[in-house]
Amino acid sequence: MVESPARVAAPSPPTASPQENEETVLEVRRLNFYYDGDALALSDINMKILRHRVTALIGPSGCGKSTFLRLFNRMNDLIPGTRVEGQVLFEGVDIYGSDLDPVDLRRRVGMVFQKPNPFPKSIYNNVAYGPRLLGLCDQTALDGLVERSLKQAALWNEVKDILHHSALGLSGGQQQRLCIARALANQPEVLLMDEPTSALDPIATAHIEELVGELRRDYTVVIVTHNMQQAARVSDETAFFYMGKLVEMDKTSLIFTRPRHAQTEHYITGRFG
Amino acid sequence: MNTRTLASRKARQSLAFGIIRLAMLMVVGALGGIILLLVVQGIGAINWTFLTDVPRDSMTKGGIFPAIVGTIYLTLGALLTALPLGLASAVYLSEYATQGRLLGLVRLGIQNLAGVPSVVFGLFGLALFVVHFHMGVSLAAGSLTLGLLILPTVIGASEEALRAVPAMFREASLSLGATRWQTIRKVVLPAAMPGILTGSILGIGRAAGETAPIMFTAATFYTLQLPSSPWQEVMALPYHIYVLATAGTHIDQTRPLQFGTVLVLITLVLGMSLTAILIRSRLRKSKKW
Ligand SMILES: Nc1ncnc2c1ncn2[C@@H]1O[C@H](COP(=O)(O)OP(=O)(O)OP(=O)(O)O)[C@@H](O)[C@H]1O
Ligand SMILES: [Mg+2]
Repeated sequence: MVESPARVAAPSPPTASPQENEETVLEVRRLNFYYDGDALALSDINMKILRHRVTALIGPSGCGKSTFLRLFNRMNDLIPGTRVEGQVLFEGVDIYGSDLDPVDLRRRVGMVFQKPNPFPKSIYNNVAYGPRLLGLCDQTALDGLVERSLKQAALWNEVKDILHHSALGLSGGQQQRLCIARALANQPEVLLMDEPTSALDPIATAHIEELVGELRRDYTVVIVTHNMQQAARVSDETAFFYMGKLVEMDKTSLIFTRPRHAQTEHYITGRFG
Repeated sequence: MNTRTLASRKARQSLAFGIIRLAMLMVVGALGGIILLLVVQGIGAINWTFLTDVPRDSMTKGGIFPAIVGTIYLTLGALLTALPLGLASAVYLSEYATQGRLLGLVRLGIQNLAGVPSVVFGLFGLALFVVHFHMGVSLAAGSLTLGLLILPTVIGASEEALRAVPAMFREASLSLGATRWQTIRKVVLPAAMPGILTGSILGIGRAAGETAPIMFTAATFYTLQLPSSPWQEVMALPYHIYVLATAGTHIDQTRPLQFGTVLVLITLVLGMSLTAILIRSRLRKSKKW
C-alpha cells in the first residue's frame, strides 16, 4: 500500500460566485481522477456539498460513485497508481494540498462501508477504537463517548448489556449501526456512506434510513445508493453520475420531479442502469 | 460415435484416478511403514525409567531425560529467536515494502535460505555464535542457529496469516484516522496472531529433529546435568540418536534404546504438529469473517 498519489496541478479555476446563505463544507473543482496510469474514472467534476445536508450520489454501476466518495477521505490513496487532478476543498482547504495529513483528514471525515466491517473485537472496543487512537484513555470519558455514539446510532438499547461481547455476534443490521457508531465516536464533521444498506434486510434498512435523517442535525452526510426510493427518502440533494461524469445535481425534490437531463430521468424512472 | 468417445473418456479418467490413488497409497504406506517399524522396535525400550533417568553404563542402560529436556529447550529457544525476527520481516514484506525488484530479491533470498542444507547452518553457527561471539558450545548458540534455520518457515507462515486478514479491517481502521502502524499493531496483528503462532509451531518440528545445526553449536555427547543457564551445553534427542548409532562402542547393545529414542523424538514432533493443527482448526471454525 502506498500513500502518495501523484498529483498534477490543474489550471486554477475561476473563482466561485458566493452562494446563497448555505454553507459549503466540501467543494470539488475541475476534478479528474485516474486509476492505474491513464484509466480516467472521473472527469471534470464540479460540486458543492452543503453543511448539515444529506447528499445522495446515484448512478448506474461502475459510473464512479464509490471512487468519488473515497476522494473525500483520501481512501483512494491506498490504491497504487491513482492520480488526482483538480481540487477538493474541505472547509476551504485543498485536501490534496501538501499540508494536510490524510490521517488527520480521516478523523474529520468518517466513513461507513458497503459491507458491515466491525473489527473482531468487543462492541465496546469497536466504538472506542477511534478515540483511543487519539490517546483518549480516561475510562469515564470513553464510557460516555461509547454510550453517546451507540445512542446516536440507535443501537444502545440493544447492546447496552453486552458491550463486552464480540461485535461479530451481532446481526448484519446491528453490525452496520455499530460501524456508524464507530465512525461517530470520532466526532467527525462529515460522514461518508457507501451503499450502507445494500447488505441489509428491509427492516434494518429502514432503521439506518431513519438514522441518516437524524444524523443530518449534527453532521454532513454524503451517501451512495442504488435505491432510488432511498435517495428520495433520505437526501436533501441528489447528484446523478453517468460514466464518470456528473450529469446533474440539485435538490432531491427537483431531481425526482423535474430532472433537467433526459439521462437522469431515464435512470430514476428505471429505464436503464 | 458419441458414446464411444464418452466411454474412452471415462476409461482415461479411471486410469488417471487409479494412478493418483496408487501414488497416494505409496506415500501413506511409506509413512505408515516407518511409524510401524519405530513402534514395533522402540516400544519395548520405553518405560518410566527411560523417560526420566539419565544414561548409565556407557549409555547401554538408564534413560534419556537430559536429551528430552535439551531438545525442548532448544526448540523453545529456536522459536524465541525466529518468532520476533520472522514476524518483523513478514510485517515488513507484506505491509510496508513497496512491491518491486528489491522486494523480489529479498523474497528470493528467503526462499534460498529455506533450501540451504542444515549442516551449513551448523557451520555458520559455529563460526558466528560459538567462535566469533564467544558463546561456546551452548544452548544459546544452538537456539540461535536453529532459529535461523526455521526463519524462512516462520516468515512464510506469518506472511500467509497476515495476508489472510481481510482488507476491510485495514480500510476500516485507516478510515478512522489510524496510521498504518496503528492499524498493524491494533487490528492486523491481533487478527493474524493465531495463524502466525500455529504456522510457526508447525515449522519448528523441523528444528526439533535436526542434528547437523546443533552438533557443533549446542549438543554434547554426555552430561548428567540439566542446563541451568543458556551458556551450558546440552544433550539433545537427535544428536543422542546419532551418537548411539554411530559413535559408541556398544552400538548393538544400544539398538533398542536407539529405536526408543527415535520413537520419543517422533512422538514429540508429531505431538507438536498435531497440537498446532488442532488449535488452528479450532480458530478457523470460530472465525466468522
Ligand atoms: N481499484 C481499481 N482499479 C482500477 N479501476 C477501478 C478500481 N476501482 C474501480 N475502478 C473502475 O472505476 C470505475 C468506477 O468504479 P466505482 O467503484 O467508483 O463505481 P460505482 O459507481 O461505485 O459502482 P457500483 O455502483 O457498482 O459500486 C469502474 O469502471 C471501475 O471498473
Ligand atoms: Mg460502489
